[in-house]
Amino acid sequence: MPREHMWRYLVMAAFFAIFGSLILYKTFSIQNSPQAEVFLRQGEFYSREHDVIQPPRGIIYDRNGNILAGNRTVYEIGADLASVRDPHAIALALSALVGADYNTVLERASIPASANSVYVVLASYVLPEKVNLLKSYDVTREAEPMDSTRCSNDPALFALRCEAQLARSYPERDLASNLLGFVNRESLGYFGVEQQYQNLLAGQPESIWIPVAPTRVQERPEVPAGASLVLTIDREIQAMVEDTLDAHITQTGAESGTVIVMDPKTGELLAMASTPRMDLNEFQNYGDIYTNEVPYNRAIGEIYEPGSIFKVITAAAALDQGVVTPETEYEDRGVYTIGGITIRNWNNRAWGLQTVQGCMQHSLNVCLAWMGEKLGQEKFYEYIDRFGFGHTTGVDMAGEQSGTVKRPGDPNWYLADLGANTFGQGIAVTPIQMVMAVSAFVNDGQMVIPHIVKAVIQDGSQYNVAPQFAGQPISAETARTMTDMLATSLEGESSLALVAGYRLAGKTGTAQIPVPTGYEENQTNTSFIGWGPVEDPRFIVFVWLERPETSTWASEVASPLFADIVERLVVLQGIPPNFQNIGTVSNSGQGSQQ
Amino acid sequence: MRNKSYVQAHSQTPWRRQMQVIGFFAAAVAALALLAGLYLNVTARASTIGRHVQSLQNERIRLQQQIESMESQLASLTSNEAMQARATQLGFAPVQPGAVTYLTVEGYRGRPNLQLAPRAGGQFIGVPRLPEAYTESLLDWVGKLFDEYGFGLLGGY
Repeated sequence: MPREHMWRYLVMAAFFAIFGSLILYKTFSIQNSPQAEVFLRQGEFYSREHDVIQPPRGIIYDRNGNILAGNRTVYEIGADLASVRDPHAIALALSALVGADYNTVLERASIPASANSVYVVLASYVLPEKVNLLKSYDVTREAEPMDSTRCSNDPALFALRCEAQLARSYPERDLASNLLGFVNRESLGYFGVEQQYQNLLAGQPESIWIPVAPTRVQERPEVPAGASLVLTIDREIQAMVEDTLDAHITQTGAESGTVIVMDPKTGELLAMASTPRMDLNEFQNYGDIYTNEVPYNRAIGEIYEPGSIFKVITAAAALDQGVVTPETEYEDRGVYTIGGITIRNWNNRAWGLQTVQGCMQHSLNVCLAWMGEKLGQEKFYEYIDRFGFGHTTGVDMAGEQSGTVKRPGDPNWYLADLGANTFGQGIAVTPIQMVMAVSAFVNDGQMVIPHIVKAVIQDGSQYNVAPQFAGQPISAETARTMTDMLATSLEGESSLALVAGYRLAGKTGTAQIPVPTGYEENQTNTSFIGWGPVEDPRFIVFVWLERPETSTWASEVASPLFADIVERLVVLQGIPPNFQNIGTVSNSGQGSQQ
Repeated sequence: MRNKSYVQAHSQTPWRRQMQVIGFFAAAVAALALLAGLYLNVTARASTIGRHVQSLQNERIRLQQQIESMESQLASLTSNEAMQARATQLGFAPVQPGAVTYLTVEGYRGRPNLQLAPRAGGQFIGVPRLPEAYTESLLDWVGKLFDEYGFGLLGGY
């Protein structure tokens, strides 16, 4: 190398050395500058995308595996603002095919793209059929495949994106709607099972970051689906109960109705119906259907004065305490005074010498008030507590009420309340409380807690729900005596509640409806609670018709509804007849149980 | 003097030395290019496979959604209302209580409880198990052979 050229090389080397050093210096200074953390965060942010994996909501089955609540695919339609060519075309297409509001879509699609405005949602909960129309919007082009996120094959709509997602679906529509509840668009359960088991059904969403660089792709974590539930409800029984209830409401002109069917030994609810009901797929109509604070499920959420069906509690308490026996006699003079009020029978007449059996058969208020006073206020209210009144039953559905029980010592309790309470007035209960209380008569004095979930399926395993008992308010002997007494009462009265071939026990209840000034004239709550077959009970059926118009008496409106349900129920449950009813009458007959 | 000329006779010519330098440099560049090419190739393939994995993951989600949706559709088609309508169309009518004949079948306990998944805490005997041949390693297999033919005595008494 000629020495005279050496300086050129040295200059070049110095230049590159200085330039390289400057680069190194700058790199070093940036990494240690106060902004370094910001740059790192930005780098981290742009290297990945955030996503929330929403597990599919658990399915709800009836006891035979029929789906009552499942999931269906719906689409969210949005626009990539940077690609929007013609907002008017987008608004027109979405309003015509999807039913979206033209002006709203136009306004959103016209937002200029910026760093803060990249994407807008234009329509949600769009059904696949409508998306399909968009996919083949341009008839001259091949339809866009359904699995593509691009919404349409029309170049003017290329900015539209269709994201598939799961939404709740109710294949049975309004069947069992009162007990199922519904799920809104934010995936929150409202009422019934959907609300009660929200956390279990919804599962645990997982938040993940997905690297943008394809070389760093990671496996998406496996997020377990929400737990599925098997209900105790039998779809066929539920449908039959709803149909029968609706027919009787129409027939009697009642304002509303409620029916509960429960397996008395396990507490499994086989059917639960009340009015009104709604198509759960159109839950947005909730506000129009349930106006004026109408309870979503009257069976657990509405309290009422039960009237004479409550006499079974008073009689059971008196028998259990040994205050009376079925043969104990009482001279009914038609009036009974307690706490300054006069109690009369339902027909305002005196029934003369009666046994306790006769008192129950003829549903004599006077006799029951005497029984209650003989039992004593302390014991009477102790039994009210033991039977669970004034407390929720713990049934696994959202929206249960506890009822209203005034007790001695409460500022608004008077001795007169004891008299009224003995025959089911001045005390407010829920239908489910009555059903749970009466289960004691079937289970040798033990009360079973009603429940709606039979099994939970989670992480590939099935967890079966075992029956639970809520104490023993009465002895086994009292329970058997009560059942026998009430079965004999029905037969003796030739009640309209009787069903040929089956021995049933039960009690009617006609109750006046309280208003702020006293009780309503000519308006009643009519109910019936019964169980059977007496030899081996397979069901408790509670029915309640509110303010019937054709008759104010439970024996004329509630008893036939009970009989109609039981007549079909025994067929669906496969219970063969084994009893010769002596007193079975046609529906034109009339008993004196009111 | 003779010795000095001998050394000069075997020294490299300047152009050969330059060629050597250039050759080494070119070889280094080629090696680097090869490495870069390999890296590019591997990265490109990883990217392609990564994208494929992503698309398969999306496909799996889509299929899961489709399955859920189709189950609901099937449930709608077999809903109580739909089945009743079809039964009526076919000429069936709800049975009347008096028209039912009951037959007692000894030992029949009615419809069994619905079992959609194995009970928690236990597994059904009927669940098929993967044969060991699919899971055991070569060492496991050799160990088993030893045990089977009595060679296990080597490790015993």
